[in-house]
Amino acid sequence: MSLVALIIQFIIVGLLTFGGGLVAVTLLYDTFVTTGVITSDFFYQMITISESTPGPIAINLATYVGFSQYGVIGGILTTFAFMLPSLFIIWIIYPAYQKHRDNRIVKSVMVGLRTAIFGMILVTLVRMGLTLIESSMETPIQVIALFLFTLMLFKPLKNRPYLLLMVGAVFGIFFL
Amino acid sequence: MKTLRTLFFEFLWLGLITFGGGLAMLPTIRQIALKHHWIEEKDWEEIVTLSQLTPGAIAVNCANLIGYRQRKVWGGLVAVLGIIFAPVLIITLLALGLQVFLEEPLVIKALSGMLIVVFVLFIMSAFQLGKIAWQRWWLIPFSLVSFSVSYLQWLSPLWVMLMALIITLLITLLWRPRT
Repeated sequence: MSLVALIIQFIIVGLLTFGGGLVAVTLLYDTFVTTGVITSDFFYQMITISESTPGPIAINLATYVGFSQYGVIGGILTTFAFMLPSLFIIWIIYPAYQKHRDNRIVKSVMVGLRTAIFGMILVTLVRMGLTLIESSMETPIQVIALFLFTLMLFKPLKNRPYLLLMVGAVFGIFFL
Repeated sequence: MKTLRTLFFEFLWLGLITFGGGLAMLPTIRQIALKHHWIEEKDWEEIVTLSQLTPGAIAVNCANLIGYRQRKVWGGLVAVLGIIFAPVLIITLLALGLQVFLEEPLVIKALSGMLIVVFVLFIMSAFQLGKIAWQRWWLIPFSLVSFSVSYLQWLSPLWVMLMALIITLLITLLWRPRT
């Protein structure tokens, strides 16, 4: 795939991603794995890395796909291509929204679309949960223990999520 | 100038410390934005809703909106550049050859522990979004329909959005509030 085609593909994916980064994962799979640009194994390896490094998953994945095709420059360009539609859409929509926020139709559209998107977010949640269950077949008790332990620690450490992650890492090293 | 610099570095820090994708990042974004008085408590619901309705990564949209409220387009751009800076750098470094690091058994164990924590963060974030999305009980079935058609992959996200838009407009136009 040429660099220009790659950038155009990412602009399209950026435009069609509703409901957060994990929707982009599915779209990217359809765009690049189904067409044979990237192998399925490599794609799943990229997802694991995107999930275990900080930042939005879609951004990490965009950088990685771009890098795998055209090096450092490719990674930067695809990341910006992915963000381009959303950047401009917000800059155009937000001022208009501020003017009409009390309009009855604007208000109901906000509620209606939000309701639909929450359904899509739940899909992501369920898929993530199923993957987790699948991968924890070997050490189910430890996984459940860490899960409950994190739930317990969530309230006191709510404002310091990185401390929670450190707990997870240490627990993982010793028990998983 | 000072605001732009603060926006950039606060979002840079955020991009560095938050794992588990955009949804898990939201509570930390909220906390930082409140601390700097970029938003007030009552604005958060609106910001989160708009970042979901617009395409792209939720955390990036959230950064863009918060930055835009401070310094228009420049504020949005600076906040977005801040939030993606560390992730892009880290992925590039990993792809450049640090990948071997990820094959260390110890690192794999640590990461699988972190993944469970990420899942908890994700659930908590979804819970917050649910409280915003389901303020009326009769909205719940609509979310479940959207969940089903998306889960079974009957409709792509764009079509779900279009259908939701049409249904919302129909309900709003046909149902007249008593005056």
